[in-house]
Amino acid sequence: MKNVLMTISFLLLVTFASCQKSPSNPLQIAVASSVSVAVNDLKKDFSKQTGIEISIITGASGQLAAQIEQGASFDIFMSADESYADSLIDQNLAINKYIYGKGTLVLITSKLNVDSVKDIPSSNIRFISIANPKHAPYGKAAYQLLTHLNLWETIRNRIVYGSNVRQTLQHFQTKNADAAFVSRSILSHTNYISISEHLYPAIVHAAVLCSFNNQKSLLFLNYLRSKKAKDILQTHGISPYHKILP
Amino acid sequence: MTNYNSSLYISIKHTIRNRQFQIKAQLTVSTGITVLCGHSGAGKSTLLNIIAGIIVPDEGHISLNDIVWFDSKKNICIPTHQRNIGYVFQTSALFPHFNCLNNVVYGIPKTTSKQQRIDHAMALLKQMNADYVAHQKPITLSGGETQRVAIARALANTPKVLLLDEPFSAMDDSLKTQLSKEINTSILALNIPVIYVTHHETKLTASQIVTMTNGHVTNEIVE
Amino acid sequence: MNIYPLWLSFKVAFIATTFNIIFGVLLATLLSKTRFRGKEFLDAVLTAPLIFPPTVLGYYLLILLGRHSVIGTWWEHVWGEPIVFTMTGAVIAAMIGSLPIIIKGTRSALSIIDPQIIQAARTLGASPVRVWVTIELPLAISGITASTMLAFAKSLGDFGITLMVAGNIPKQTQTASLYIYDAVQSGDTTGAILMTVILTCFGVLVLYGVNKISNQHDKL
Repeated sequence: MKNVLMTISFLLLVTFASCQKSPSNPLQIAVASSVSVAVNDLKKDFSKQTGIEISIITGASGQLAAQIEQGASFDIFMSADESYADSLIDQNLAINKYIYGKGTLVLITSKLNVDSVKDIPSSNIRFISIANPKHAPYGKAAYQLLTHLNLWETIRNRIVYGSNVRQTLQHFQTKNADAAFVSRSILSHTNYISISEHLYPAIVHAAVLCSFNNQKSLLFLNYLRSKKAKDILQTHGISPYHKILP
Repeated sequence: MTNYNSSLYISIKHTIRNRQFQIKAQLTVSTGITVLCGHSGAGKSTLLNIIAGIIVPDEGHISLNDIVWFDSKKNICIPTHQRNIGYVFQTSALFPHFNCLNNVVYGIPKTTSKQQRIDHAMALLKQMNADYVAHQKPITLSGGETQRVAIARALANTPKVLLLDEPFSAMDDSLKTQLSKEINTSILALNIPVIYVTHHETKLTASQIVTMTNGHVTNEIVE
Repeated sequence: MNIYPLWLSFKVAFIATTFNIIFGVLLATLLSKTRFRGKEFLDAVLTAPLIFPPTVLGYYLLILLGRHSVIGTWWEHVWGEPIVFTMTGAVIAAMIGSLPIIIKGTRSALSIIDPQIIQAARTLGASPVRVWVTIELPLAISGITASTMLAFAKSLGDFGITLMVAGNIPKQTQTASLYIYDAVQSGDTTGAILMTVILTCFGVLVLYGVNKISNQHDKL
């Protein structure tokens, strides 16, 4: 009996202890999977400069946007597609949209005889992974690229879908897919094949503020505008975006 | 029906794992009824299980005439289903998902046609005065009826040895007496070694009575 | 409404459960009747899928059955297509999560059979195989059936493992649960709701059936 009571008290104690708020609340940033590696570098630099801790949550841009619509409380949302950011603003769930760059779609493959996207149909690539175009911007871009090049119908029976760019990359890394369309910004050391920018619509990355009255969030958004941040993003293939005005 | 004298020879030692005592049996069972008495817990059921091959003893020898069923030194152990034994359990152990007729048919070798097997089974049930329950399921029967069917079933395989483990212990005295008298003639007519376990007196015509005390079997010859 | 994901889910669950019945009953019999070194370890490994996070299991499958694994390359060599990203992968994903249910249910149903009934059958000349087929399995049938229905329902609803291994290819490996997940993410709430309702109704029906079967013995 004594053992039972002690176990129950121990469990209650642990439960209550974990309910306490941690002394320093880190900044909660929802980050598109495709730019997670880049944002990780930003996080380190920002924390070093300001001492503010950041907690990153990743997912496909569409998935994260859906979560925010359902009430998820992130401080900042860094989307890989500005349309998701716009949608949140329209629903009064976010403000202060800032376009932090445009992304680079790349092809990665293990087949040596493939030098460009056009080589895919004739190659012995068995499976190509792309992120689900329905909610992942780079998947959508890959789809648009292949349609533009009239290759979609030819190779669509070789396409498998990852739920976000990270899973897409994983299909390739586990050698189950011979090729994958991913963002430049998710890669660290892999060799990739570049794709001409004009072959697919620009992937415009936008960040929005989701929590109001938060000093730390504003600091981070300001930091994104800094030269240091832009340089870090550039090294990961996120280049400045200049909207072409009509 | 051959008229020779069958002999079941048992010489075994076995320690029951969870209980500390050892079973030591040294006996010869000939054609006819051998009554095995002893207090509850003396190990009688265990001995029957050993003879049937359900339990494999630690050491010893069991043979029926010249067929060796078990020999620990020579590493011989014939499995239960090849020993051709009839066994009537205390709780009848009838198959609940078959009717009584099919319970008996189960034991009849498939060397004859289906109809012949059914006829044979019905004859056995009739012999045990239980033919009227042939198409009922065991769960609907009374205690006396289930044991009649159980005995009929035990005979289905034309066994060379018949073992009965206190088959009537759950009944009142008058039923017990009646059933004992009924089966006495039938099982004597089989002309095989029969071991009948009980811890009461019995109305059977025994050719020998042996008593097990604390796992050990001693011989008493009554004529 | 897109009928393919639902049809595919039922197809996958049906095939998975058929294989699971065979393997499950055989493994349950093996576990309940034999004694060998490492038996309890095998039991733990076979039960583990019930408690592991599905994505962990999916990841293991990806490594063990992927196109560069021993098994995966052999399979692709023999059948011309790999395990992952095909319906085979979806079936295996569905099997892994629900096989333990059938094993546990069968083992439990076999263990409550009165041993003397089995012994009686042996004395009547029935070999162990005959006893298993004619006595033990029939007596265990309601336990086996109930656990099979639960296993089917679980196969039908598998998500995490399938997500990792099947590649979410529409009409080929996009099962109902993957479809619902996608639909919610892309804002297609009508499609999601419709399919969710159908799966829910089916699940409730199965539970009702399972309860009926399991409780029929209570009346006696």
